[in-house]
Amino acid sequence: MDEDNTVGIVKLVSKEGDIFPLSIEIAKLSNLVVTTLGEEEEHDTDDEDGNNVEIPLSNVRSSVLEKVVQYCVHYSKEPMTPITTPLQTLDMAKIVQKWYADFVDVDQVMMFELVTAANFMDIKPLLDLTCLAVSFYIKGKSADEIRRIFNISNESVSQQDAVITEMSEGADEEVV
Amino acid sequence: MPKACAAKRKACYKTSESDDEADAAPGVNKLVDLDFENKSTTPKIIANALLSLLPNDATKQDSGAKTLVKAFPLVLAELEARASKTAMKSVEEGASQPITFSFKNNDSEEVAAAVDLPEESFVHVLHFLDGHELVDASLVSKAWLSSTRLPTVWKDGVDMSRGMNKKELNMTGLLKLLRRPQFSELKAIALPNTKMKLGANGVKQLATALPHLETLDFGYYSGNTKAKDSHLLAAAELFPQLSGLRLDMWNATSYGIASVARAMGSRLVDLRIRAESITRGFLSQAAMDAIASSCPNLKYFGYKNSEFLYSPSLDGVRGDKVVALVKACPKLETLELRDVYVHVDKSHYLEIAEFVSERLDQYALRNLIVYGHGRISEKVTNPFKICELLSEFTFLNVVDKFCHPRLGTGVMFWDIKYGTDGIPKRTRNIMSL
Repeated sequence: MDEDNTVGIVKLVSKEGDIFPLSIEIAKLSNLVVTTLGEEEEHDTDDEDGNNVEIPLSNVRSSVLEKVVQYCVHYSKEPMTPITTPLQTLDMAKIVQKWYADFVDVDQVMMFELVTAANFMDIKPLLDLTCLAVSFYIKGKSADEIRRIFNISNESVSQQDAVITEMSEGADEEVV
Repeated sequence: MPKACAAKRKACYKTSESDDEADAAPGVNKLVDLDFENKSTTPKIIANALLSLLPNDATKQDSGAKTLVKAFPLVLAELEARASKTAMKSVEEGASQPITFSFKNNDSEEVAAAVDLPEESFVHVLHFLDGHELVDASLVSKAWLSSTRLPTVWKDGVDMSRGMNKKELNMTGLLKLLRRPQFSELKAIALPNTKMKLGANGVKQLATALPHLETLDFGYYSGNTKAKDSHLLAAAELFPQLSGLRLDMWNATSYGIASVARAMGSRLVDLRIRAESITRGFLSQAAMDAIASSCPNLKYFGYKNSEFLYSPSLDGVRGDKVVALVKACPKLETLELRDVYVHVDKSHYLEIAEFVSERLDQYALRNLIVYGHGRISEKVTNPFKICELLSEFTFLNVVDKFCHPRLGTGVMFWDIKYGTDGIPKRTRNIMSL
């Protein structure tokens, strides 16, 4: 409600229990933090603990949370160029600044965990960035290649062959 | 399945009851006793209950009977509407299950890690793909198929002209396609690049299928739809949210475009026109005036000249008209002129640059896209000068001399060469200022 409360620290707690302290001003990039702080304020308006809130993120691993914190800190210094569709280029370094392009140069598991963390913590620009990076795994690939990349088993596919054949005929005829 | 049946029957029961109650005499209420859950309730019993509402000697001519018979199509229509509503809902909500991605280490068969992506995030990923990439993605698995069918994936728009479909679409095929749930919230569409005939009612049918449409591309970059003036006017009238129009001038005339500009007025935000010299379709000076005076909210203006059989006397996109347009449209963000090199030259570009650079807080123009097959460079000499004046320009694109200034760091040139296949090849040169 009042804006005086911005100097405090918020403690993000990972799945493993590691604590990542972050200034509230920076952490507010996460809408989850904003809502949680809002609720805290409602509950106890006049005590100072409100400046030192712990936010448990029980499904975010420490290594992922560390990346998220890095992102938020950097964002406060150099906000990311908003990503707009349709994309003008497929060069990540031209869509966003170099730091952000380097940021998503991680292995696939980390990338997907970053997406889920960004989704859970409701950090819009991080979600945009990581989802865009994931879409690059898929872009221009055939269904077979995509299955290979993500180990989507052929077995499950064969069960669905009927659906898929029907679908691809549909695609021939009319599009998706 | 039995549950659904029961629900449908209930629905049928309710609707017919209310329809009948309105017209039948009050007090006669045997319908209430009907139990649709009970299998012994046959259509015959229902028919008898309904008949008992009418006088004993009623025939088909009886007014009550007529009303009763008329109620049935209403019941049917209501049931169909509910069914399609439920189908949409299940597409939107029912299918929202996390998509599992599993990863293996190289050469190992064991799954090293698995991450469940919430469907909303997966949809976010998918919305960065374009049409034919989505077709490929939809073939991966059932879960992927169901995700690619969500309206939110397609909301931003569909470009039919870029070959999503292998077969030529006609209007009937297109309309059938657009009725699929995933297209229900479509905001932009580029019509297929085939010889599709729009027909007299084409735009009307499209408007019914796509009530949320904001941008309609009849074929600005490539297309063969050959919209007529009547189509443009119909689009302006029938799409309630329309703010962007892209078209070629095969059939559309300057007069029609001027009328549309006046009809849409401040609603028109994005206008891109491709001239067509074979049919003498060039934008006239009067049309330029009409656009400048009627459309103060224009954010994007694009004009692509037709080089083949070009007639300078008909082409009304003159330098002074372009300058006037820029001055009249403070919200204009992008000016795109392709192959416009006879009537517009460096003095006009400089005038625009000077004008905007002195009023950066009032004028939004930051993107200047100028294309021309090797003829621009002499006409627009010194893009550096424009860069200097408009250091705020985020995108200055002068092709065959294409430069992209990042403030003070340097200038990037693109040299364009057309190969034998007609596809431009770009070589990038970076030069410091």
